[in-house]
Amino acid sequence: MTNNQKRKLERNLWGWGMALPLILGLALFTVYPFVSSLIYSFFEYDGGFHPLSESLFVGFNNYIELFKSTNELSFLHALKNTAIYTLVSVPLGLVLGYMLATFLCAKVQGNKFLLVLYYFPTLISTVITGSLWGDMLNPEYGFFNTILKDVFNLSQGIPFTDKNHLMASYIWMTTFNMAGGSIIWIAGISGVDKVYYEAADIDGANKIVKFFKITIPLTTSYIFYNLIIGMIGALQLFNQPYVLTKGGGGDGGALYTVEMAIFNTAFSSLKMGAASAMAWILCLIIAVLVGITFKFSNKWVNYADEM
Amino acid sequence: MQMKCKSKIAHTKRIIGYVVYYSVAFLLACYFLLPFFVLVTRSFMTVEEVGQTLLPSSFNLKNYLNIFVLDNQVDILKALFNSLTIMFFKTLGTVFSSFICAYALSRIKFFGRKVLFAFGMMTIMLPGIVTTISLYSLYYSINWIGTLYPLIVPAWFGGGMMTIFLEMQFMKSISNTMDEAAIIDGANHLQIAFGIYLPLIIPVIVYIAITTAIGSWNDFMAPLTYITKGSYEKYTLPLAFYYKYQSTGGFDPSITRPNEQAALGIFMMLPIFILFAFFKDKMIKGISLAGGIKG
Repeated sequence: MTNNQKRKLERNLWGWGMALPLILGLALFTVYPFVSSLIYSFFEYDGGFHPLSESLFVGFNNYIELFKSTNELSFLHALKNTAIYTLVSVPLGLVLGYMLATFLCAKVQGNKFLLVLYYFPTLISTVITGSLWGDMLNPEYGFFNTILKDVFNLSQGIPFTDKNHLMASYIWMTTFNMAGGSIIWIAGISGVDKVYYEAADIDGANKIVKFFKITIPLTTSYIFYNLIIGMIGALQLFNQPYVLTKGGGGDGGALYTVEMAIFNTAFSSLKMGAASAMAWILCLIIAVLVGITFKFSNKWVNYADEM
Repeated sequence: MQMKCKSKIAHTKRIIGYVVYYSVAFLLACYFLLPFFVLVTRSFMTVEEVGQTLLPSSFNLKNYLNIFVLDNQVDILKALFNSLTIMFFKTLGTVFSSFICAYALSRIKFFGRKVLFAFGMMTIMLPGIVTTISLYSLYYSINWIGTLYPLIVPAWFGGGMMTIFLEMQFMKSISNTMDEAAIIDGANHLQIAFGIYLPLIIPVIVYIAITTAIGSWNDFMAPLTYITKGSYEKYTLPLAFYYKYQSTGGFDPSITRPNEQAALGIFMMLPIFILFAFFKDKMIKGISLAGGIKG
């Protein structure tokens, strides 16, 4: 072997060796489960109590069955709930979080302390907050209705948890975690070069103009990042609704998300084939939405190196 | 005379600005900290007081002691041990394996490196639930269901592409000249990685360690999936919390005991308090660096 070939081999061995965790990890924990779940979706499979070889092959039946039922705990209903949640909470979170970030970037003493103060509650486990919010929203003895009845003397309080209000109540609860996304924007907003603001000042621009024409355009890459992360997260919402409704989806299934539907189908009903089909449909939906968002991104996202 | 008037107006404007700002800041603090406030006050109340009063009548610690009482066969002390174990090994595995993989991908020009990177990046967008179902089946066949292994082992296989990507971004900014000097001195890749690169990217390593630790401590869905309801000994804290108080009974306070729940909730926040207090500067730095996609 020539010296060059030896060095190349050495380099490759080192590379594969050090990257081995990733290579094996992708094979074992990504590729294999992905492919096998696609296979499961064409069978009536119960997860291993009976092997796949003894399970009934049903072709596309699992997929077709999903679109037949529209009752409270159906896949279609879960899709509707998740869609509503995503369409409302993602833009709401973006706008409110951005405003909060702007507020926290003001050149005032103690704004770092405020950030820590607001960010801290977002670290509480979602199990605890899910349980706490379920409690606070309780129509009889929950925190909010107690205040409404005692302090404001309303006779009845608001039925937060009934099927017409549950989703809205939950979306409201998510605003308590606003500071989570703001952290990213603060990095962006404070990173905007002062030069632009100074130039705008010379031209006599007021605060609002500066905000819309300088701050927002120059932070679009951060907005984009939070948009994608927010979207993917919202479409896979599970923890809090599950804990809040004890897995049941709440009154009229108002808080039954797609991920909950998949989880219950797989692990309560042990219908892993059907659950895999649902999971794949969710996967496709996410892929399409993320793809569309990316495609449209060059219309409005500016990256720093293009300025 | 005119100058004096102008600066006085500006001065007053500024004071009003400060007053408005701090008032808004105070209101926001009340809003964001409301759930936390409810949690803390409830943890000192008796069951009857919950929902009736805003503040507890006394600061008795009874609830904090009661959370350790065995009921529904849930043992909080064991759960604490399990959560700590998972947190430790998962964080260690993530930091270690993501580091060597990030180093290899950014600094060693090996065959297939670009393909591996591209493929890895594609997997970031995949929803976890698809793999969860199959992995459950896989783990079931090797008797890992009801054990802590499914929650720890995957972390040792790269720790997630996001982590690797983040580290690679930081490694990009380290110049090659040090590598070359080290190679001349006869150092191999492990020595270069751990001797040169690791010290230089400590901030992002700390950030990754802390976010992994907090994430694993609070994780609910994975333990819910892989540690099935009957495996009491292996519950993690969030899971124990759920099974102890939430999964049974309707909303009857004497069964769900929201005051005890609150105490357990505060108890579960202790490591987060500690981590946050010690590392908050590094964390905030790391978060802003992580958010700084373009530098």
